[in-house]
Amino acid sequence: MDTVNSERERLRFFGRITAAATHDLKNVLAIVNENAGLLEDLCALAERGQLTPDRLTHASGRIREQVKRGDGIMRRLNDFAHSTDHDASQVDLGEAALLASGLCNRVAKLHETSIKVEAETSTSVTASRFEVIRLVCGLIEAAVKATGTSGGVSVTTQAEPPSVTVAAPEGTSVETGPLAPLAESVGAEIVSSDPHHVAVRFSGA
Amino acid sequence: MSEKVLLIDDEPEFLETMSERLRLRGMEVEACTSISDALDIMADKQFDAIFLDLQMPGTNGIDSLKMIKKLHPSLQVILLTGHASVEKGIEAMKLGAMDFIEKPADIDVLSEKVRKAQAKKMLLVEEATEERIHDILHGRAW
Repeated sequence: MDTVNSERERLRFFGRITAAATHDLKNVLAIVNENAGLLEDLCALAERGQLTPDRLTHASGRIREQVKRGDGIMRRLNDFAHSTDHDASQVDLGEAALLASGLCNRVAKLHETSIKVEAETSTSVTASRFEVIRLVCGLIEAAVKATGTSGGVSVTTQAEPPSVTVAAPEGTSVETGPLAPLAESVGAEIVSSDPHHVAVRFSGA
Repeated sequence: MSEKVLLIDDEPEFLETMSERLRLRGMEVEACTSISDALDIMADKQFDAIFLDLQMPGTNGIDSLKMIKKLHPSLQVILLTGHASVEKGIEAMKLGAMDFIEKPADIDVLSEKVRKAQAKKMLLVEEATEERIHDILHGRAW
């Protein structure tokens, strides 16, 4: 069996994230495609004098919204791809939590739940950015699977000690055991005050 | 006779625009974002074709397809999805899906699929009716 720190598991994680992002991008393109097509349909109606301008505005507005959505997905995917640039660097935990949450949005949606992030503190640790993101995504995925339709998942960061906390609704139990070796490899440990409340705590800045 | 279409997809913006475009082509369109809503709608109304997204929240598209085909065998299901996997496509076709189309799709292609779905459904219904009449006649030993 592949362990969490095997190359195969790293590759699987990269595959999962890119598959989810590209699926979302396909949906964005489909909506843009349909709205561009609708504009053509409406132009045909205009030639027959059967068009009100608000229909054009509505369709073009939807295209703009989807371009914005697609840009957000691409930005996150690009940021994630660059997380492998350095073996170790200063990793801002707030930014990593935001990125990991964004990357896990699709898995949350498929499990009919949502992720709320409150990453106000700005604290950095020295580690592999890719592995920190993989670890936080792992915690979020575990919380999402435990949550199902019973509520939302919240992600917060703390400065002292540097940590990222993931909380599922009370009454659920987040299984993080398989992630312990990954936490150890980035100089962190997984602590849990309650079964639904887990945190990855780094040893120092 | 206008074609009756049900769209099932978890992207409301996609549903809204696709519905409008199909209506502009003379079709009667209903849309919903979950399979449970779709089953409720199908209990009340008849459709010629269903466009079903393969990856929906809280459900597996293949299971949804099985459920729909079990309840409405003559209904033509076309999978319309961003998830492009040949294996899934083959599995879906084996389970009775009429077609498997990847997003983004051409509206003219989709419209043609709907017309074919309507023709296929009518043929299936006619065959089933003929078979029933045949059974009745033979059952009465005429």
